[in-house]
Amino acid sequence: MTAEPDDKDRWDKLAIILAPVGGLLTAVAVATLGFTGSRALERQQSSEAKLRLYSELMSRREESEATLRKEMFQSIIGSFFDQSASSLDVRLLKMELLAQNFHEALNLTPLFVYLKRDIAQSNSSGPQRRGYENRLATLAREVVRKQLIVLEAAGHRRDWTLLLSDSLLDGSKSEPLEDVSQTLDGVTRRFRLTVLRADTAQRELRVSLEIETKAGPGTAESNDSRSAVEFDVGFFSSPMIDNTRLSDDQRVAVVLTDMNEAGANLSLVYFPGSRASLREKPYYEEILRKLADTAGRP
Amino acid sequence: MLSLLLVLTRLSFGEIFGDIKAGDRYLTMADVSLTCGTETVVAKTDSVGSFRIRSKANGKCRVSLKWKEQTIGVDVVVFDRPTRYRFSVEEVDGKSSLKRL
Repeated sequence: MTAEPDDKDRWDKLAIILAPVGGLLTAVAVATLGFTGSRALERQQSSEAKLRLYSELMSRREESEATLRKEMFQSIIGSFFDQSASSLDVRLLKMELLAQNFHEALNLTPLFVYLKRDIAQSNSSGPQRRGYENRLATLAREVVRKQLIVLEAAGHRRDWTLLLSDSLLDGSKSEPLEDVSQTLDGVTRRFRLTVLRADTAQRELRVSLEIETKAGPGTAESNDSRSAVEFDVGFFSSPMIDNTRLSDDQRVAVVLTDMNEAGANLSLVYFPGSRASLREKPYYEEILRKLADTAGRP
Repeated sequence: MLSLLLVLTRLSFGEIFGDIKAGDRYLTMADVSLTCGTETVVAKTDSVGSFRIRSKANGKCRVSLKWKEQTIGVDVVVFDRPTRYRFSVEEVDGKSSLKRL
């Protein structure tokens, strides 16, 4: 008998050793892939479930809050105009409830004016009437203060002090305030506020607001657009509701924060439309443009 | 009568508060005063550049600041409730002025 020649070279030997190892490695790889895949799937499912739960909780909370607010609103407003059923003090309390809870959604100016007239026509004593007037003015200023905090957080604010002159009181001469230039979300605008008349008795100012919107970079200056509005501003003008609508879903509002016989403090707040009152809806083209902008972002 | 007088005196008090900046920094321990009529109330800004001054009158007043060996000021209105004023020192052509922010 002759021995078989050893015709297996190094590669064959290596193949013999590696064949089971390769199988083992493949099995490990498949197991690892399966394990990590199932873990990733589990994580995704868990995060989706959390998101579903969160949105469900949020929508339920919104729903119950909306129901509560609806009932509260109906109950307050329903009894508001029944003068025989409630005293001026109680009506003021109702106004306070309305203003503190619904100032972001409702234009309360007509109600403020109505109550002010009501107080003036009431047969209360002088000090009591002044007390009611102060209570109403304090409430209006509190609403404006709250709204200003929200609006200036998302936009820009500029304050001016106006000293009242005789010419401003009789309306014979207007008083231009210093121009202000502000940029919000890439849109630069210049605002010029001119006070036309001051009424210290009514605590109101007649103002003119000129707005110049600068054309984008690389565009001719002639493309700048200008507009002007004239309006009264008093303590009952709330910036979230009483504002001027601008292009690019932006707003500007003028607020009277303080006023006495010597002067007044005025603020201009320039803010995105998303912070305006809940009752204001954006235009369709603005929604579409925003959607396109969001889709274009990486 | 006396109580009415006390109430009226109390009502005419005014207060302003806020801060003063020069460029990007707040002015700390700076001398600031509020003049209403003939009465001047002197105060200092604190360690973060804020101030609070109470005056015995309200109406048209003037806030002054000692700045680089000179006094600069701006007219303000003091109301019956505390009012916030934020000021900034601005220099144009080497001339300093106090402006409301």
